[in-house]
Amino acid sequence: MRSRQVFHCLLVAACLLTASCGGSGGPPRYHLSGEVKFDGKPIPVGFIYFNPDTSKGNSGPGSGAEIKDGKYATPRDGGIVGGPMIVKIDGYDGISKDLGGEMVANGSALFEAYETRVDFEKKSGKKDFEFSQANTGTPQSFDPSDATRR
Amino acid sequence: MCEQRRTRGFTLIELLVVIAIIAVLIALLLPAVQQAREAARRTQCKNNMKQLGLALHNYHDLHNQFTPAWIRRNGGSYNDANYCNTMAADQQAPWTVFLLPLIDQANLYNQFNLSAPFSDASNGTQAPNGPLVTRISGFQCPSNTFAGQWPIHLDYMGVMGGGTAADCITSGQPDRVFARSGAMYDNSRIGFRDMTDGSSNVFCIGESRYFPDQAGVVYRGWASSPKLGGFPLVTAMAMDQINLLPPSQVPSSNTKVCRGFSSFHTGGCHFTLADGSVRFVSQNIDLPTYQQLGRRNDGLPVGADF
Repeated sequence: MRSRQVFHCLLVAACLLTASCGGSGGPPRYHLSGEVKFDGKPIPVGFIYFNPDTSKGNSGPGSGAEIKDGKYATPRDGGIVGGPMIVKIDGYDGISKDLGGEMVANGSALFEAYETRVDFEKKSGKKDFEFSQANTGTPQSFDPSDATRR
Repeated sequence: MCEQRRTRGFTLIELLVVIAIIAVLIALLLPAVQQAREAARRTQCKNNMKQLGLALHNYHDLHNQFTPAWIRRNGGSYNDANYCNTMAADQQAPWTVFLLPLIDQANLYNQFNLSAPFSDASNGTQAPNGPLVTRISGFQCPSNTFAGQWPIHLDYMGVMGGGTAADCITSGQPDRVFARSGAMYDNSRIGFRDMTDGSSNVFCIGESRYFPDQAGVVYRGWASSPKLGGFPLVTAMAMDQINLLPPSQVPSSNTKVCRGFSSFHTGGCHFTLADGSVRFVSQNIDLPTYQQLGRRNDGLPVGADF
């Protein structure tokens, strides 16, 4: 009887320990994966950003994933926070090239900048992106206080 | 008679139980030892950044400003919004070199030719200054496992700004960004007076686990000045979330390095703030808050989670 009580005490202590050590803080994150196509073809090398859209009241950490052969998947410890988000995509042809004396492994950028706003559900899922040259080249939002020069 | 006097010993089962308990305790302890070692390395890393913060403050005492991120000699008009696109590979000394006399490396500092370039077309450092560059442990995080392979790399980047957009993007390479909204940028003369957000709310130096290395470029390291039309080597801006890029990319040619900060420690990275303090910032920090901290005069209050 006594040993069972001790065992229960130990069990509770172990549960408390694991509960207090788990989790690294921050809002819940949701895994997202999918395919990215530019002009109908998968992007060879690139990156996709998911940043909270503060203009719609969303907040939290940003997230992102590498695009390889048109596919992306957010890392296990860095999913998206969900809600209104700004999605930015850059893509390269993946053919190593010389940039004024330096070898660039990614190659040339396929397009200038692609940005879109998506309202994500707060759950893990799939999302594909497809766009063409006509959708890109949108100038990045410029904050006038950036322009302070001395 | 004889049997009664014999003291009672341990049975085999009792001994086995004791050994099993000791084994369990050791098994519990061994991973903890590794964690303690990592914690020690993290503290040492924090100390490195604190020393750089003190050196920055001493520099401010001497010159009434913080170090410029690098001395920009050529490459377009200073006020041109397209200033980073002129392909000038002859920039002069970066901030790391200016701090040398203040971190007990005055002899090395005196050997450098400050009127000669510290950058070249391959994003390295050319002669005469390149061959002088030696390993300085204070510029490297002890948790960096690539230190043996790349002895002169830099783990601490000057913060040139923050925000959702860069002030200038290298044409054809949207990864490579330049900014002028932070504590140091090309030819900057930022002092405490310019940090209207308060010096405890502005990043000066941040940690980075990436240093873009490239086969054949020998002298790319802590003394390599940015190449205009190329890549801002010893600086970065607070734009992308901390630890956004997957690890184990060092050495790599990934040049998103200059868009954010990262570390070899789990959960976030260290920053030296302009008041000289070093803070460990979580990788789960609110992105706009983090971007604001990269800027010296955004005029916005800092969120509660910093």
